[in-house]
Amino acid sequence: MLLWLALIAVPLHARSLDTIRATGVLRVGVNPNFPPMSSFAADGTLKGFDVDVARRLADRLGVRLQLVPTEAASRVPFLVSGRIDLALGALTITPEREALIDFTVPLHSEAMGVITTARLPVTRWQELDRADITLVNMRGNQSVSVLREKLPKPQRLLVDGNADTIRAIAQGRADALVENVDFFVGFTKNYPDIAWRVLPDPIFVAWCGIGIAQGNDALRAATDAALRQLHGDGSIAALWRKHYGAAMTVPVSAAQLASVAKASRPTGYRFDWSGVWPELPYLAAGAVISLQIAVIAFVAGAAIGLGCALARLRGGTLLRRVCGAYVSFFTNTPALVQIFVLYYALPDIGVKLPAFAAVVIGLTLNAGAYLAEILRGGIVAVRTVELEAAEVLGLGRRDKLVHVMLPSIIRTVYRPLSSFFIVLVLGSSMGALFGVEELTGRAINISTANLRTIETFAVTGLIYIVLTLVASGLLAGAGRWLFRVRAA
Amino acid sequence: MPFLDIVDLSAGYGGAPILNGVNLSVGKGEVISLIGPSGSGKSTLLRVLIGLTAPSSGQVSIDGTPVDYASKASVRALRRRMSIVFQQFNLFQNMTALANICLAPVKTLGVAPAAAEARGRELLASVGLADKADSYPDQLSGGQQQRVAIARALAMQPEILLLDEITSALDPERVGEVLDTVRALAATGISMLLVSHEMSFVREISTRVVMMDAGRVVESGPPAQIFTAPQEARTKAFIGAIIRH
Amino acid sequence: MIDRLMAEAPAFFTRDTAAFLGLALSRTLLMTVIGCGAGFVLGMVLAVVRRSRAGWLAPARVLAAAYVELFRRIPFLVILILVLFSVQAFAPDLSLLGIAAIAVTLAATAYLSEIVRAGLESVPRAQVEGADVLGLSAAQSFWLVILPQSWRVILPPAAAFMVMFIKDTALASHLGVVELAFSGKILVNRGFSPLYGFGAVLILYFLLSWPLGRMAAWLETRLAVSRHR
Repeated sequence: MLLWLALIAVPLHARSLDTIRATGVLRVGVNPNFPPMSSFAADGTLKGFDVDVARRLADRLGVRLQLVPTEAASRVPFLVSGRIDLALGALTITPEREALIDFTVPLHSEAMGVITTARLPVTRWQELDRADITLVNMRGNQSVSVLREKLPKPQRLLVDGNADTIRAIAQGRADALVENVDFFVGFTKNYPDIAWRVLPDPIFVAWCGIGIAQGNDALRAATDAALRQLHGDGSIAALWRKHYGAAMTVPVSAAQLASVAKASRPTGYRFDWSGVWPELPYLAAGAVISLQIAVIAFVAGAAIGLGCALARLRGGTLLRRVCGAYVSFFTNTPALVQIFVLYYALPDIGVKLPAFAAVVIGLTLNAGAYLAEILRGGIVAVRTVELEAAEVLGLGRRDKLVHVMLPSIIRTVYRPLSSFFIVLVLGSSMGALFGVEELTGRAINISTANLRTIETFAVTGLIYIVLTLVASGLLAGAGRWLFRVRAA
Repeated sequence: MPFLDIVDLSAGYGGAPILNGVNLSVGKGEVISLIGPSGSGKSTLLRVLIGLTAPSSGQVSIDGTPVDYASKASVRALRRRMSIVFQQFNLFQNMTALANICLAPVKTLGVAPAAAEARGRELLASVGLADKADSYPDQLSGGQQQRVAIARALAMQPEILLLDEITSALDPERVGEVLDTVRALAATGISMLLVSHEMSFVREISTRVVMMDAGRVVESGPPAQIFTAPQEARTKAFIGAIIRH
Repeated sequence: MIDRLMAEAPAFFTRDTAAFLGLALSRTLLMTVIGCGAGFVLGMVLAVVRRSRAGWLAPARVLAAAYVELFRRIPFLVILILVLFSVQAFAPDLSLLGIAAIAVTLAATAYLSEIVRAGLESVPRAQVEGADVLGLSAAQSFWLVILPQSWRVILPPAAAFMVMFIKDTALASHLGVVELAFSGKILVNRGFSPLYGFGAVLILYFLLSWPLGRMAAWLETRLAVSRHR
């Protein structure tokens, strides 16, 4: 928390053209997961249109190129902080972004169109405005807010990567993608069995420039000059054809290239919480969803865990082995990758889980394995002296279970179970990475729109703290009242 | 002048003080036993004297120098002249018997490790454990551990030794070996202040016996007098109860 | 399904794929080791501060307790995102791996501090008094008496925690750190069957986590036997 406060006082580090020349290195942010713009090739290096453009820009400036893999939502903050000198990755020129960073002249156009499959019998984009259609979108892309205006009715599925959008349609989770067609059509090659279609008329055209920190005028002038040259000698058009297999749908015009930018001043990072407070109800509702995920996973996981624990203590050899393998597998691999498999791999064998279900099932299976261990420990820990005492007193099987064993087990496992429930509340945040709009997912939604990530996530962290403190308090209270479990 | 002088010493809080104005003097070479019912403040008195429990009022001086229990330096100086052996031995479980003995002389008195080791082996021999130098506490019996603890306290070359119920945690057949060690120690002329429930031992070894009750000294005198002709009613009751058993 | 796997096999089982996965595995390990190592040291500092009695350390005690309590109540993913964006103001050149390591450190510090604290508290008060009356200073009694005796209680859960955190570092994939989980996703995005991409990654996690977990369990039984070593 002290770290965040200190931010106010720290000056920003955007590097001037002189500094870049002096160090001999130009740091360019490119998306690591965005073929054919830029992506890791089999040899582990980044390749693509943006990479080639960046290399030519570095050549013109007479410096070495350093590529910095940068996710879509990080581009603006990284520019502002000076972590990168230039941001590529189809950065659409918008007023919101222009408030925080500067742009060069356009590098390429973004003709927004529709990618769909033969499953959906539409011919014009206007026909998509139906409630029974699901559109997939990538978080952090400009198209999200544009679509809310132009196509308000369809349901939405938000995913994090470019490849995930096409996968969602291929797997039948969504029906269509409304996006810059050129960028996404490349991924359809991963699914050759699907009858892909691209609707002919673009919805509108936007422009992408190269992002630069405010006040870095000399670097912008040099980059503008280099871009004019690369457009003028046909290099950019050639690179586009090389990577996209076709010419740019709408080329950058001479008038756009001729425009000269006004001088700008860096505004610096100041905390601005005004964009976060109005979202509190939205975040709070997300917290309820987080809690729902945790409760379902906990209850279902406890059932699996109890069965598994009993099977390992009392079951036959085969059953013991199977349950042992289950526990070993799920406790020794990350829940995140388990959910990857449920969400991304199962559709290949025809099981299509919605994101929410995939996350809940993944967390449930994970919880089942851990709870099996906790419960087994509790059952084993029933003291033989207590059982002997019950025996001597002549208690029957049932009385022994109800009056001696269960209370003893509950007293042993209650606190580990309570802690594990908190672990599940925190673990439900993984849902965000699959587009589940629980607390963290909503925080990501908000911060990609308001570009106030630190403020948004500081508030989100606080909500988690309050949520888990209340949950811990209620659980401890219930334990004391119902089972006379002592507090920590 | 007495070597250790305790004047009006009180400890504990509010309505139920544990020590309630103790007055006691210990001369050089004296062996004084504290007796009295449980809860009378005997062990607390020892803990206050060595600086583990803070006094609420009163004065303690050693060799004429008053001890300031609020001052770390003063307590440190005190602990170079006074040492204590606990009921539960409190040996460091992570060190051998010899290492337990050598630790403090090396670390706090600045004795050279080789010299400390030589002295440590001597001390172990003197408590009859020469062959246990490299044993860890959990490899020793209770009686052996307590003898190591006595050797550890002696390594600081104290002028007065406090013994807090040092046989209470031992198996009955181990009590004798520890008492033998203390008996031998008493003969060396070191001052001792001990709390014990071994009445025949107390009677045999003490130069003076002090009866405590409710945080005060009730009566003190030579063992023969206290055990056979106590003056105070509370002493009579206590001695009577013990002898009937 | 089988046909696809057979068809992809020659392209998947290559030295390039192995090197790619190996590098990712090393990043996963590096994040865990750096983060948990630093977290252990910082966690110990916090535990010691919380044990202190000096009056002037009272504010530090409150801060340490608050840190430990609060950071165990924020999802690791949220910590990762906060560190990513906060660090920009101080060290814009820090690698994503470094950022992830800081996030691991922040989380591990809180959890390991509790483990260390429980270990220090497991040493009986009598041991401290024993050191005290021999005139050892607080620092001497901590280093020579308390700490050596608490390893037995600290090490097994600390090791188990680190093994557990190997799996939690998978979330660093969200930052763009090409660690094991992300490498699986990249392979799948490159067109390989999820069975290959995620299967390989799951196996590697298991091979990393299972033996280390067994080692932590072995450590527990071994250390439980003897109190002095």
